[in-house]
Amino acid sequence: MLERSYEKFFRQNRLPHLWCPGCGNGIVMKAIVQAIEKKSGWTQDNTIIVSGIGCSSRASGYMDFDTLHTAHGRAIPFATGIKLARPELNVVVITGDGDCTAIGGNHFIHGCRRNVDLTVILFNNNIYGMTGGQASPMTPLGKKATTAPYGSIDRPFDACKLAEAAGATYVARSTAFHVQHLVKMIEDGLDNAGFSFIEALVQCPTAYGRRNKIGEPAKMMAWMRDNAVMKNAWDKLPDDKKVGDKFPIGLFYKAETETYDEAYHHVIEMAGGAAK
Amino acid sequence: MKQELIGYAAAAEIPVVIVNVQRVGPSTGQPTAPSQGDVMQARWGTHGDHSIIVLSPWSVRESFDLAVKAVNYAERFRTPVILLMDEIVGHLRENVELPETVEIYPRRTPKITRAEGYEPYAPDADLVPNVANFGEGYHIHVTGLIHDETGFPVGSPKITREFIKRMHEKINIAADEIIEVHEEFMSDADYAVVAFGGTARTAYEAVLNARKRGVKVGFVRLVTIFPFADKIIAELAKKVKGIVVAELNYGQIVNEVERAAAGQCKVELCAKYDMTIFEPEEIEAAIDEVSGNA
Repeated sequence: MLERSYEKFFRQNRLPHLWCPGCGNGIVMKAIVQAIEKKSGWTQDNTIIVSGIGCSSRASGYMDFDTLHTAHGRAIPFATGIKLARPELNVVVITGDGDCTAIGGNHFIHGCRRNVDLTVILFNNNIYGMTGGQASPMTPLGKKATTAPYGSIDRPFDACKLAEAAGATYVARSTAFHVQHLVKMIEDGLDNAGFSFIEALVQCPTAYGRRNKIGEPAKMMAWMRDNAVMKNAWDKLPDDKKVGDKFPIGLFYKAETETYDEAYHHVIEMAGGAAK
Repeated sequence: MKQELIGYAAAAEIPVVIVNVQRVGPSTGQPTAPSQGDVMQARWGTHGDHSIIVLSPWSVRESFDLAVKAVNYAERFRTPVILLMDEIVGHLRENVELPETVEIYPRRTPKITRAEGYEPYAPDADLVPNVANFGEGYHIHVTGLIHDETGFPVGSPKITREFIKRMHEKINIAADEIIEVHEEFMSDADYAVVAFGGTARTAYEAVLNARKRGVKVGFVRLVTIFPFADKIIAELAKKVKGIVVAELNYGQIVNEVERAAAGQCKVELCAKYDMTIFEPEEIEAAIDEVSGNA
């Protein structure tokens, strides 16, 4: 039997969680603590979990760290504040597709632009789950939502391309099906000094799958298995094969540049304040 | 815009000071002309039934002093505090002497350890919790959802009632200490002018001018806007025959004064909302009106 070493990272008295049976959020939440466990020097005392509002963002309440459940879309500015005030703390942000790319869209691009040393994990379930299935900016074209009964006509964001274009220095994607890969993507994101962004696809059988007749949770995960293509293989695919539901996963972008909190502390030094 | 986070700070009990230098609204209004139209926004400008402290300076030096006081109140009561200024005071240039040091209310810290059963939102004797800082091993959870003393959300009517009550009462029980009113010429006053912020400067001159003409009028300046000076205004209303409330808006604080005065004297509004500041004569005319000297 596998060692359940990750259990100490959870507030046992807060479980079971409120997510629906078959939801993928728990898989990503566990992947996050497995990645943190692998990081030497990262402890439950010096790592802060910040989340926004929505299904994904309830994760913070289950995780046994100092945790901050913020306002809708605002997790990144709260996290930026923590990192600037206490640069020695490790700050991880949990958000969702609605939280991060709609009401929080501006915070997201400016967090990327500034290269704040945060690791942002976006649980992408393609829908507003908690409020009953409204279309988010990451609901695929043509998919149904309570606010798009004939299929969404709004072209969705590719959050990874958005993060890269906005200046994030680590951008990756994985899925709730590819658990080991997901842990690795998060772990590498934690390693990156700067704004790290990991999109994790999760299945929402209740608000998204059911309405779009994609079927039960296992079928939604099989869809991830069948359509996700590792970045290296994706790059070799001719364009006529990059069609249908196929999408790339893996590390998309990595760069090294000064982080915002380093730059900010230089300003503090120049202004005669206390050094880092 | 963004006022949801004032409510977040009230609910999660995070110390924060917000400076609002008021200008003419609504919307883009008349930038950046003077107004005092955000009084009720300062009180209620986030959704929900929250508590708040609002302070309003009338000079450069007092802007400094009240900013310090605002930070200290925010820390002591773990609440948002609004420093409600206006364009008049905001653009004021005065020579000031600033103190070498200021009094600082220290950050509240846990009195017991996790092992001893620490709960971040358990109220102390003053009804304010000693919320731990992040990164000190307490593993606290902070949320804008209504929560119990552990900090975790609960969907309970009892907890919700107790939470909202404590949030209000922690300010109410200290209200006499927080409420600051600046009074002058009140010992023999038959009438009074109530004003705040930049308008109080004009009101002061109007009172001086009326006094020169023999009108027994006093000056009452609200330094603390909220919690409102209910008791002080009630006493004032018993003492004088009439109150003039001067404010640069269509009438906001006047409703609070009327409520507190509870019909014990006349309360007349002297309102201005044309993007210009009061002239002393305008407030003097209102004094004459209320005192029957017109």
